[in-house]
Amino acid sequence: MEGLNRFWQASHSTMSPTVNSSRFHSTDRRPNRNSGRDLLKTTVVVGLPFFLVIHVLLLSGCSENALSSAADGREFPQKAIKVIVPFSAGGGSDTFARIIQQAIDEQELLPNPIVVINVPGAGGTIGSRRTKNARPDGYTIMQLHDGILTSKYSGIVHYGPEAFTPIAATGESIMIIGVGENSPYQSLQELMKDVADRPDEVVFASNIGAPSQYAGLMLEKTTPGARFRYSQTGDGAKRFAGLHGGHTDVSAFSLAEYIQFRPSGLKALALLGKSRHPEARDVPTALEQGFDVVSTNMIFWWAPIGTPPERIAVISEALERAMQSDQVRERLAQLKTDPVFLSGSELEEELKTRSELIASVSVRPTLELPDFPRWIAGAVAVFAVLALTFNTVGFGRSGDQSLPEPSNDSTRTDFVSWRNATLTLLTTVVYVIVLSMNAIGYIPCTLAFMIFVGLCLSPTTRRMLVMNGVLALILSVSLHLVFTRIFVIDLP
Amino acid sequence: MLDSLSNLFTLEALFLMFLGTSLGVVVGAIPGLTGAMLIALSLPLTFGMSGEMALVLLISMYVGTVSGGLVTATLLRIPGTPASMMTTLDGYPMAVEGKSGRALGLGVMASLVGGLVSWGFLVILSGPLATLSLQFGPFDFFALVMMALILIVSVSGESLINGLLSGALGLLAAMPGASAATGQPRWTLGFHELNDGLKLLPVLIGLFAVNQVLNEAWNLNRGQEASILRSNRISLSISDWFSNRVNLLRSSLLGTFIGILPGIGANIGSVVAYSVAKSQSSHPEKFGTGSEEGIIASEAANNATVGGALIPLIAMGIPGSVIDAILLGALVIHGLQPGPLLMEQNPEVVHIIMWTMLFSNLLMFGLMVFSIRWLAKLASLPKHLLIPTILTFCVIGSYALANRMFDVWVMLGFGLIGFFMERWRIPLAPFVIGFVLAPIGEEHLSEGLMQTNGDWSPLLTRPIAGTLTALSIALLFFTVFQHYRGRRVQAKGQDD
Repeated sequence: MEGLNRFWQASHSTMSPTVNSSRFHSTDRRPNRNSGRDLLKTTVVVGLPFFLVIHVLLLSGCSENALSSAADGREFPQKAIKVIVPFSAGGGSDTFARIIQQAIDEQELLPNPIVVINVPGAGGTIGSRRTKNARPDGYTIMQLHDGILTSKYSGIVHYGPEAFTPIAATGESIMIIGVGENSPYQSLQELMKDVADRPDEVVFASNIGAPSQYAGLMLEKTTPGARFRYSQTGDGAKRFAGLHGGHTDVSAFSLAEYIQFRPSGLKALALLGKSRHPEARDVPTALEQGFDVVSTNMIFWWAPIGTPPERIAVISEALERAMQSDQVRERLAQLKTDPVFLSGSELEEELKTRSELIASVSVRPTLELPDFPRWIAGAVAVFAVLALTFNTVGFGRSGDQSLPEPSNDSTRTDFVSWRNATLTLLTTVVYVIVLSMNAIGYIPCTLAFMIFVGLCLSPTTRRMLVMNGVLALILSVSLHLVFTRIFVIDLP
Repeated sequence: MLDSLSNLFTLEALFLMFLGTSLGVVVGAIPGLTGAMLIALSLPLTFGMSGEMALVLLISMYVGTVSGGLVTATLLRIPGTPASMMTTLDGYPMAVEGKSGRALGLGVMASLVGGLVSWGFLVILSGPLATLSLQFGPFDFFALVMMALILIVSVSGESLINGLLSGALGLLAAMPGASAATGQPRWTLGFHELNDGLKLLPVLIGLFAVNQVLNEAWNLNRGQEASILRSNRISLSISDWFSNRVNLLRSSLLGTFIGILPGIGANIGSVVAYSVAKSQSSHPEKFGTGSEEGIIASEAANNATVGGALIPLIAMGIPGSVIDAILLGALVIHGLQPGPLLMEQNPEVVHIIMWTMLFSNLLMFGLMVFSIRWLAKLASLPKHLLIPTILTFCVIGSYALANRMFDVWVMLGFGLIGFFMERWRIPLAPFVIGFVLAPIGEEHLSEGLMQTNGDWSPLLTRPIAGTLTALSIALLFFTVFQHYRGRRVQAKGQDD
C-alpha cells in the first residue's frame, strides 16, 4: 500500500500531501485510545472521505459534460474505441497498435482516443474470439495479422476472416528464408535441391500453424518431392538461436528479425517479397531465383460482423490518416514494416488472395508425440495411491511449520474460523461476480467489498469502520485511476 | 565506459532511476502485480523519451521488481513475484519467530550481491557467454528441466511422497491449453478460455496469496498473529557478508548462468540455487523452517538472473526472459538494433544499460535498507485492513494480466485448492515448480523429438544433455538419501 501511495504521488502530483500522511497514520498506528491527538485525527479521517467523494463526483461530472457536448453532433465515436490486440503488451503487434494509437491521439484524428487492450493467448485466438462476440457497435475492434488465416486453416479455431468485417490493412512486413552463417546452403536452389534429395531430413524451425510454417509449406510446393521436417520452435529469437546453435537447418523470419539477427550470423537465402527491399538490397527474392513464393505478413483491423458501415468508414479514415503521418512512418521504418494501406475493395481482394494462398497448402500432421498429459495423469495417480497407502495425506495438522496448529480445538473456535474464512471467500466471489456483470463501476464495487470484508473480520466499532472506509476509498480510487489513466487497462 | 557515466548523472536520469527502482520494488512487493506487467504497461509511456532515458527507467524497474518480491514473501508468506517463491519457505518462518528484520536484511544483502555478480559477468563476459548459451539444444534444455524437477524432492518438506504428489499435480495443472507441439487446444473441458491454459500468475497468487488470506481469516480468532508483530530493525553486520560468502557466490553464479539460458528465467534460478545450497549445507534439516542460508540462496539467485538474462539480449539480440523481450521492443522502438553491432554503433547505449543496472542495484539496496523498518510494520497492519487490501490487489492483478475475468476465477479456485492442499499436508512449492517447468520441458522435448523424428537418444549422447541427465540421477539419489538420513537423525533425536 505504501507502494501504491508512492506510485500515486509520482504520477499524480495533484493530490494533496495531507491525504497521504493521514492515511499512513490511520492504518499504521496501533489503536491508542484516550489521546487528544486521536480526536483531531478522527476528524480528519472522517472528513477526508467526503472531500474525496466530492472530488470524484466533480471529476465524473466534468467528463460527463464533455461527453454530452460531443454527443450533440451524434457523430461516431462518442467514447473511446477499444482495440483488442490479441498478443501480450510489449510484443510486435502491441507496439504497432500503440504507435497508431499515439498518432490518432496526438493528431486528434478521432474525437475520442482509442484504447489498446491486450488479450493474449492461444496464438491470438482468445482475443479474436472475444472480438467476434463483442457488440457490433464500432467501439470494439481488433488488430490481428495473417494469424487470423493460419489459425483457421491449421484447425486451432473454426472461424477466419469471414467471421469479421475487415476495416483496413495497415503495414506489411516481408518474410525471408534464413539459415545459420555456417550453413552449407548458399542459395535457395541449393537448399531446395537438398530438401528434394533428402525428404523429411532438413529441419525447418517454425511456429506450427503460424505464418512461419506456411512459408516453408509454400516453398515445398514449388519443388516436387521436397518435404521439410518441421519442428515447433517458437518465436523469431528462438528460431534464430536454434539455427545458430546448429540444432535446426532453416527457418523463416520477418525482415525486422533478419535485420536484428544479421550481425549475429543470420544468413538470408531469399526474400519472399515481390521485389528486393531497400533495407536488404543484397538479398535476392525467391521469384528471382525461380521459386514462385511470395509471403508477407499484413496487419489487419477487424470489427465484429454487423458493425455499421459508416462507423467502419470513420475508423478506416482515421487509420489511413495516421498511416500517412510522418510520425508513424518514421516509427514503422524502425520496425522495418512497410507503410501499406488498404481498405474497401482493395482490402477484400487482398484478403481473398491470401485466403486462397493459405488454403492451397495443407498442414501435414507432424510427428506423433507421446501423450504427455496421460503420462502425467498416470504419475499423479501413482503418487496419490502411494500417499493414501502410507497415510501421509489427510485432514489434520499441517506439516508446514508456518501453519499454526489448532490449539484447544473447541467447536466454537472452529466455527468462527470456518465462518471467517468462508465469509472472506464468498464475499470475494460475490465481488468478482458483480464486477464481471459490469453493473456498477469499479470504485463503488471495490469500496463496498473492502468495507464488508473488514466488517466481517473485526468487531464493529466506529473507529474501525472509518479506518476501513478511508483505506477502501483511497485504494479503489487510486487503483482505478492508475489502471485506467496511466496503464490503460479496461477495468470492468 | 566511464565517459557515459556523465549521461547517467543528469537530473532526469537520476530521477527516472529512482522512480523506476522504487516503483519496481513496490510493484514487486504487491502480490498480483508483476514486473513484466509494470514494464510492458510502462513501455508506451517511454515513447516520448530518448532511447537512453527509456532504458534507464525500464531497467531500474526490472531490478526493482525482482528485489521487491522478497518483502511480502517474508512478511506475509505471499511471494510478490514468482521468483521469490523460494524465499517464502524460510523467510516467513523467520518472521514468525520475530526475526523479520533479520530475514529482510539477509534477503536485501543477497539481492545486492546477486545483482553485482551478474553485473560483473554482463560487463566482462557477455559475448562468449551468449555464444555458449546457444549451444544448448532442445534436449539439453529438457535435461536441465528434468534436473530442476528432481529438485522437487528437496523442497518436499517432511513427506517425500506428498512432495512428489504435489509436483505431479503441478505438472497436471499445466496440461490444459494449447499443446506445446502443435498449438492445438487440449483438455479444455469445452471452455474456450482454457485454450490458453492456466496462467502462472493467477495460479501462483491463488495458491499463496488467496490461500494465505484465507489462513489469516481462519486464524483471526485464534490469536496466532502476535509473534510477527514484534517489529525489529534490520540487523546485518559485516561478518554476515563474509560468513555467507560461499553460498552468496555460488547462488549468484547459478542464478547468472541459468538466467543466460533463454526462456528458463528467474523462477528456476532461485529453485536450483536453493536446492544446491541445501545439499551443500551442514544444516540441511533447517531448510524450510527458517534457514538463513535458504533466504540468501533464493534471493541472490533471483537477482542474479536479471544480469544473466540481459547477456544474450545485449550480445545477440535474443531476449532471455519475458521482461527482456519487452526491453528488446523498447530498443527497437527507439531505433536501436540489439545485437553485436549495438556495442559498435551505439556503445553509449550499452554502457547506459550496464551503469543503470549497477546503480539501480545499489539504489535498491539503499532504499530497502532504509525502508525495512517501515516495511516490517506491514505485517502488523490490522488484519481487517490487510485482508481486503490484498484481495483487491489480487483481483485487479489477475484481471489486468489478460483483461479477462477468467483469470480471476482461476485465482480464486487455486486459492481454495491451496487452502485444502495445506490442510491435507501437501506442500505448495513443488506444485508451483511442476507447474512452471511442465510447459518448458514439454516444449523442448517436443521440439527435440520433432527434430530427430522421434529419437530419444540425444538425451544421453549429446554432451550437455548427457551430463545433465547423469547429474539429475545423482542428485535424485543424493537428495533421497539426505532426506531419509535427516529423518533418521530426527527420529534418533526424539528418542534421546
